[in-house]
Amino acid sequence: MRSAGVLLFVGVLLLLGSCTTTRSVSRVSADTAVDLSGRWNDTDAQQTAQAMIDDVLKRGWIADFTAENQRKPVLIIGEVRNRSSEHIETLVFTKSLERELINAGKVKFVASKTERVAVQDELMAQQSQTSLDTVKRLGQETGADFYLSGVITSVIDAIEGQKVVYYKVNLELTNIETSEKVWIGEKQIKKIVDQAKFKF
Amino acid sequence: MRIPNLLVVTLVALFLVSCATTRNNAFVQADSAVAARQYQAAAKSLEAKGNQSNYSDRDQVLKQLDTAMLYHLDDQAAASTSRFDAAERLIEDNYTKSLTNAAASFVVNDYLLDYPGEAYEDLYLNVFKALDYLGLGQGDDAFVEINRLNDKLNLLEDKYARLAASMNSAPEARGSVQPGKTEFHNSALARYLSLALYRAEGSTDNAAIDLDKLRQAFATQRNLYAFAPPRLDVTPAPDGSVRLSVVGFTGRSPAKRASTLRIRTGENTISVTSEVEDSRGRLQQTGSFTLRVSGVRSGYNFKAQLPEMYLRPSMVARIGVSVDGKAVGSLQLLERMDAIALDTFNLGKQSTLIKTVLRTVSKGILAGAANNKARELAANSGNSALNLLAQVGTLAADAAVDASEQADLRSARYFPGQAWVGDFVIPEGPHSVTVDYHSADGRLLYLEALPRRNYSASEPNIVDSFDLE
Repeated sequence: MRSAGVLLFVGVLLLLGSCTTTRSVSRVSADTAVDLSGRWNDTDAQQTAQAMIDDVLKRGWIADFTAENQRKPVLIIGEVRNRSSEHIETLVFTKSLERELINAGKVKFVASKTERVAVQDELMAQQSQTSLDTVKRLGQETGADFYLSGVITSVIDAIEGQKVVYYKVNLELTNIETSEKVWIGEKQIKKIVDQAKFKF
Repeated sequence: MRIPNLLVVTLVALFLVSCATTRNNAFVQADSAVAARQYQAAAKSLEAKGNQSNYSDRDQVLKQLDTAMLYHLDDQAAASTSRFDAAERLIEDNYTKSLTNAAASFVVNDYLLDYPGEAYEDLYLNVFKALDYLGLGQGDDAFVEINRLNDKLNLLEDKYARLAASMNSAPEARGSVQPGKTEFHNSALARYLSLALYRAEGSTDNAAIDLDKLRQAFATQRNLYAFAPPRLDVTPAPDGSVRLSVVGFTGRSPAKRASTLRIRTGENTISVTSEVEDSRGRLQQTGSFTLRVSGVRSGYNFKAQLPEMYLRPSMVARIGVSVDGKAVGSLQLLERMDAIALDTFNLGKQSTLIKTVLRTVSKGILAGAANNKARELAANSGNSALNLLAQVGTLAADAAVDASEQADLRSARYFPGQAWVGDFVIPEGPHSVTVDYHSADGRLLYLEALPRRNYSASEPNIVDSFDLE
């Protein structure tokens, strides 16, 4: 009956290949680090935002500007170019950065280029649709002093089932009037990913 | 009743591993629509609920690749991207499964495993995704796709080396599977797209680096780029004009066909027959011979069937470009995607061969032993009915062995075979661009009129066109 044993093995293998999986969901705190695929994820975005916030707030450019101009600097979020090999939503950490800087009370932000389009549409609509005592005036937007831009790059290396992914996020603040760069922040993230094993 | 039981078990087991192929017949409707350039209709027919049988659960990578390509051809970038995304994820998942499932691959026909995608499919899907993103006005996302392709190319041989190592560590392994090699390490097409993107944003240094890498692709991979590199310029167009980049895709990616070797034993004889599929998918005998080898027992039937990749030459020999009805030049061949598909197919060839031989021999010996035992017991019983049953059972077992061993002939159906490029300086503003495809004897095969659009100096201005003939 050795042959039948082999056949049974074949059958079991085939059946194993057709097993279905069940799904369970559990809730975790938003700041819990969960790494599933090894790709860029929410934890990376949070770590990047935190590192940038810590760095940008402790540098001297805010104090210098405030002392010179007797007011808080006004910032605008510009382009953060993604030159990595993953689709990364840069808004996740630029919004965190914006929030923390506003909440720290040391800078002001104006709406970004894309956000302004909707605001300007509303402003234009007000000119014909809104009562004179509440209509907002044209040409009163606050001009930004600094432009926040950046780039994300990545390098991947792999051998024998181990993959190393290295991300570098660079953000910089440029004085719009003088083109002077007043701050450059950098966050590096390195991950080692072992090829996952599937379980049937 | 021991003999019939053993035969039944044998037959059932062999039929279990002999699912029928879903090739060509199921795609008649979609292929006809593609021939008529009704790409959306073709995609819908493949996705229609009534046609679920076009793709089994194991062929979901193919379903996503085929429909993604058809939506790309139909200029539906968002629909195309989402399907290419799904295909890319499945290819990654199926590769991981194949690492852990190495033991099963020695026993089960490859066709019964989840399709892991050919190397060229996994690589070139990023090119079409990049073009999709350009169509959506998302230049950074296009860059991501080009970077992904380059990353995959860097890791390509390692990927197959891991697969071979996984197979060698399986308890069923006999001997050592050596990973294949490929000459393909640098895609001129990917470099060209990157060059055009950098050039459009005025990053001349980066564009020059890509041009250098493009030239290296030709210089270091001569078997794959056996033609002159195109003439390209990295400088931005003069003020008031833009550089229009046209990528023309022609032909079809290679197809697969079955190459079969049958070995049948008689008393002191071994008969060998080789067959290969013709263009209609029918097996044609390509050779046969019989050897006399004393001591060989009759009743053993081995069938090994291997996938073979073959080129489908394109009819296109020249591609012209016109802007607002005026000819501005022609495209130059940049990448033989079909030749690269053939080259990278070799990466997994040896492992397929070893798995097939082991499976064939195991099944042949198993069925042969069962046949011989059945005939022996039937002869000893003196019962003529049982004798007849044993003979019928032998024939059925041989047929089952034959049916159970099928080459895995799955591949994406609508990928093109060649990429051509050309850069043309045109005035900034709205233009109508047409791309005309000609045969070697100068016959116009197809003229594609691209949708009229604005060509702006702040945009990459990369357009793509297809003639799958």
